[in-house]
Amino acid sequence: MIILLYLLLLFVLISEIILKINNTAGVIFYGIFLIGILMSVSFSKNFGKIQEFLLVFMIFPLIKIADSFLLIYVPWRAELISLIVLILGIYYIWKFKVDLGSINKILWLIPLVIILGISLGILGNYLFSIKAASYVLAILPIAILSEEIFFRGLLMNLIDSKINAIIFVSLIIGIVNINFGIVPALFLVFVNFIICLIYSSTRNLILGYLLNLFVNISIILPNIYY
Amino acid sequence: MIEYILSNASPIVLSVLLIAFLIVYEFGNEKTKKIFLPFLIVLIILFAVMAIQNIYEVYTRIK
Repeated sequence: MIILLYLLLLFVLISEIILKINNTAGVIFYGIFLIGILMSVSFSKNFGKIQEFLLVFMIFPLIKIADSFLLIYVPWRAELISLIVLILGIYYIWKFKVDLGSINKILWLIPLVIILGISLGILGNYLFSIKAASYVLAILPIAILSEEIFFRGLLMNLIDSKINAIIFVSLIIGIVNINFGIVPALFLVFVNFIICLIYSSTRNLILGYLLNLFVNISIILPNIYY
Repeated sequence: MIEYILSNASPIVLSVLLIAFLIVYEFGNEKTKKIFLPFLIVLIILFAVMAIQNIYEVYTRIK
């Protein structure tokens, strides 16, 4: 399982680099990646935990391909893709009977999480330069909800070892956002590492959602007014 | 020629993906059959969006 995880990370990193150099070549690489996972899942004899993980991971290249193909107005595209991730994530959580933990536990941490989120966001604000920030703000709640459901709710729960899950999820979010630059990607790895730590210790998705939301809001808001 | 093919690769790659999914759906195990259904639906939705966009583009050009 560990070898598989780091192999997948390597594949995604290579695909992202190719995608940055040439869009079409990157998309074709993602397509080959997707078909490879598809074949390995569908023709394996037993359907265990690894197959479940691979199947859920297949959402990821599919979304990347959809993101490069749909040449519609960017906010609509982001909204559509978030909705697809959200619906697929909820479907597979229901199908594989994943235990998400409870959402009404340790709620006294919420103010602390919000303060931590705002301070991390102000720290990260110097690293990002976001254009057209107002529409990013508009799609933010649903985008972050889908991210939390997919990465924290689904992927993290399908990986057996806690430490591997935390490292894998935070690294993959960093790799996905590598088009912002290497230093912002490292910052996102750091933020997501904290969110994964909070989720794996409290088993409460609301805390991670709020932290992620407030980090993003305080990164984006100054870009609108200045 | 190669550049032309690459620049119009999006429907081709999507079609290849859809065909691969359909093959798996047809010949795969009973268990995987049901599980892959949402992926098929998503691919069909993407196709539909691309088709609508294409038709709209042609319509505006004619107009």
